[in-house]
Amino acid sequence: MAFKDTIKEYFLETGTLNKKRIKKIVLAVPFWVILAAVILIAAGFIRISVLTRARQEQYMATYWGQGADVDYRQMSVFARGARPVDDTTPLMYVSSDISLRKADIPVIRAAIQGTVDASNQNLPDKAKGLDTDGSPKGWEDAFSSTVMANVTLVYEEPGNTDKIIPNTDAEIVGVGGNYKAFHPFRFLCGGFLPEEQIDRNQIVINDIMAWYFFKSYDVSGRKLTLGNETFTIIGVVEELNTSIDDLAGADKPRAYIYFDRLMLLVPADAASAAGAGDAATYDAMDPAASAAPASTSDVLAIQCYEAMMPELVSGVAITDIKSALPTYALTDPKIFVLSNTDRYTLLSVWDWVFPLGETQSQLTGYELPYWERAAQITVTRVFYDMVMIFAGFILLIIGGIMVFLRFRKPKPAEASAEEAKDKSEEEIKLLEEQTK
Amino acid sequence: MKNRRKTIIRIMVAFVAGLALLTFFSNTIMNLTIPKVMGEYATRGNLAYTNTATGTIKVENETKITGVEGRTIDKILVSSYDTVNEGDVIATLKPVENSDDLKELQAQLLTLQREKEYAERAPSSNTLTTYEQAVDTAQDTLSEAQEALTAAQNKQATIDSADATILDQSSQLAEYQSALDYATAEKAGYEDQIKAIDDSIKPLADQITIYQSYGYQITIEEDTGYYRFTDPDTGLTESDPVGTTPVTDGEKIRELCYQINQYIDAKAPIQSDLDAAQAVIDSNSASIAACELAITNAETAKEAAEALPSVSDAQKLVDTAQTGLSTAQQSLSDAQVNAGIEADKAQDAADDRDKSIEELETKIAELEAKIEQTEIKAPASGYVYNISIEEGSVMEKNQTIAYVIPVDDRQCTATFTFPSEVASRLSIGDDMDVTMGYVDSCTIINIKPDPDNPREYKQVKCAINDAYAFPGESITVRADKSNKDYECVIPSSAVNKDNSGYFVYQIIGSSSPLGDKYTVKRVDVTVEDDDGTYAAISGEKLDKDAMIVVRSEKPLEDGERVRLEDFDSDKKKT
Repeated sequence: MAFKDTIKEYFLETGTLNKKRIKKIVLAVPFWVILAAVILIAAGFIRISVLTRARQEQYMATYWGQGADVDYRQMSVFARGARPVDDTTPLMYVSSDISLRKADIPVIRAAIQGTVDASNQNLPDKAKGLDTDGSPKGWEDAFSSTVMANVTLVYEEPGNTDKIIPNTDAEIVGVGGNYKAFHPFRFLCGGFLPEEQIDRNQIVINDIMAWYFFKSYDVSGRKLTLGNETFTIIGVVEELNTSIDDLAGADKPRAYIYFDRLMLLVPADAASAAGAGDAATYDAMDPAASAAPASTSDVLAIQCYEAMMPELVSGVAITDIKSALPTYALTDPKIFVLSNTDRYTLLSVWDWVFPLGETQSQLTGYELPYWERAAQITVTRVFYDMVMIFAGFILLIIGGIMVFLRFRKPKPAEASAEEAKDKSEEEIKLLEEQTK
Repeated sequence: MKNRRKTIIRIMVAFVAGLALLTFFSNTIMNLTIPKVMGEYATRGNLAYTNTATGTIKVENETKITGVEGRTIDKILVSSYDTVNEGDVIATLKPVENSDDLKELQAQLLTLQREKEYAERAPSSNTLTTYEQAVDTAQDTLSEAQEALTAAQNKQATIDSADATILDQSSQLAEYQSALDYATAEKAGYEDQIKAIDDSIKPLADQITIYQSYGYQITIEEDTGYYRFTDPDTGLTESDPVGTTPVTDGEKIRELCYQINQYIDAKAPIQSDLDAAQAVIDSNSASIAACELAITNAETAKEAAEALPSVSDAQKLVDTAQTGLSTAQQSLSDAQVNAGIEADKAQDAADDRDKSIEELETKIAELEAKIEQTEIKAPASGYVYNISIEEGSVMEKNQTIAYVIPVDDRQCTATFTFPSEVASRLSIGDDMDVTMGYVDSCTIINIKPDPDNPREYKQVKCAINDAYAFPGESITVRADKSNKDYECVIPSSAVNKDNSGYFVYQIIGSSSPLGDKYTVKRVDVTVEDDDGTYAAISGEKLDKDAMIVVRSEKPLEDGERVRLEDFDSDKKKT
């Protein structure tokens, strides 16, 4: 009973004061709402900026097209394949409707080159067409496929054969075309695989592998063994290493070799099952007597084909690349094509996320490389940030309305009532002070 | 009022403090937004690269030791590089404890053999008879329906014809009846006349009979009926005239015979007329019967025609019958096809069964032989190597469990892959420069296209001459070496490429009171050579005294401000 009386007494004594405090807080709510809105919007924009700037490989068309009269669009094509054993077997070609292989590249290049030449009427005929070596002219492309493999260090000094030879499982990226133009590495030493092969047993490793084997990044000329072949290191690169990249699996030993050399990792039975010819049956002295063996690199599937091409009309390049793909069906696409350029705009993100699960459903069965996985995680996070910004704008509007209501001029009747109320409150306060 | 002033003063102090802080760290903050780059000066130097390839030593005259499928290794009696003689035991096998596989195969064989026997004894059944009968029935039905249709189409004509026939036959019948009646009447007249003659003859014949009873020889001709008598006394015959009054018996008899014969002669034309009348009667009776039959038939035909269905109904019946026939024929055809398929299936099944039986018999024979095997022997003399089995391991089909290589005269080879251009400078018989591995010599014996890429690469097969070369060892050989001087050599990473070609970024520095400032300037270059690590470049606008960006944090743009930083290659990242 005493407790109840104490509470009652407390409210009798401080009731007016509390009322005023509550009133102050209530009157300050619009400003808190606006502040929260501004924080949300700012945080959202900053996060989007940070996230998208980190994905440099999505903006390579900007660097490729600098100084050009037309805009360039960067696009990626993802195809499927099969690994006969496990992820230590390269992706193998399955069929023309779902897979791409190296033999398709000249066809795709010819088609895209035709489109690029057609869009540039001022170009003299001599400047049109693919280069003599079959590489693109006025645009660029690259293709790649990944596989897990064991890489072993080669001891070059005699007498070290008794040592335990360091080795590690690494992700091997077989590349073709101008891969470097699409993937902005930070070079710690040397360079990247030249487009024109000099020595097909050259290899570029990432900083993680370099440090694992050599405790140094200056390792050009050192040798590694991969698939029973010795490779010479010509460069060390550091890939993007944000938390998203780590989440996408980028933080592992990785090496880059020429696409054809992935054949070293194809089991013999898988290669023969895929129709590769037997060299032993081919007589070089008398080619007419025996058929030349089929190129075994045709059995390898391309995981990702990338292209940067000029775009006179916005959005037309993606249609051009789809048309260039030999077996792409617009009504039932079995090869996934996306535009890297403008990937993080509001519309693109919306299109990616909605309808919910549609994109993920379309990507079922595809093995995506780590950079694409990172890009997709970024899209998701950008979407969350966009939602945050949207929520901020909603709060901003609500806060604005509240501020407007707070500062609008009261009507005379309301004002007199308010004044009377304030006056009575002041009188009560005065009475209380006198009582004390 | 005081509170407000205090607040304003506090805000101003905080603002000034923030300003001072930002000014103090302005360079640091600004630097955070500027990409770090590392620059190097282009140097005069050479690009040296070699074309090397690695191969694995292989022994051409090795002998495979093949395992026994499904058998378990008991003991391995040799280890790698042990010397064995042909026939030496390499490994012993555990006895087969479980012959379920064999039993299962035998059971399968028995089942198949029984199936075969039953199939051969089974009677052949003709499943088509029912369908063929159905087709025949349908054919008959169609014929009947077609006849009915034809009859229906000719219904009126049939009725008209029947009416005409009835009418015609009826009139003929009347004529025939009239003729018959007349002939019958005539016949009756003739019969009366003949009866009268016969009546006249009878008393005479009776008298003749009496005379015959007296012993007179009076004969009656069978064919004519004439009475013949020759008087024994006078020798006169009945045809001789008798006097007015006969006196003697002879004369009397002669007279009687004469009279009778006269009657017979008189009767003969009457009889002939009677026969003619009878013939007319018979003919007319037959005609009447024919007419009546024709009338009856015509009436029957008329009744039948009147009872026929209409043409449309008959046509429907024909159609139905035709459909029925088609259905029956189709059923027969389907049945024939199905029967053919079933026959083919049966034949295929029989062939498969025969093949399975043959395979099973072979398997059983092989399995029985394997079960009886207790050890694996060396197929040749030499070193045993690459033993791929362990004690207790179960061998697979055609598994090579080890190789035997000759102790002397080993024919070792290694195959290397080189670009076609490089391989074109190699010749059979050349010695390769071995850079890794220890062999006495490595001589080219064959050059052929690489199956991976026949156009661009060649496989160079070399004979390895070394007494201690063993299979599986890797050796690396060098095909050629390039070494050329260039005026400007920079790391390959410094060379960039965009839509207008190759370029490098040169670092332009300037000093100001606030410190050094660096920007990058794009300079188009030509790449003369590139070994992957270094590139030789040239360009009209290339300033040889300027630093070139060899590494950067991020892709750069022309004119972008940068900060110089020395990447410490050997510093471990945290």
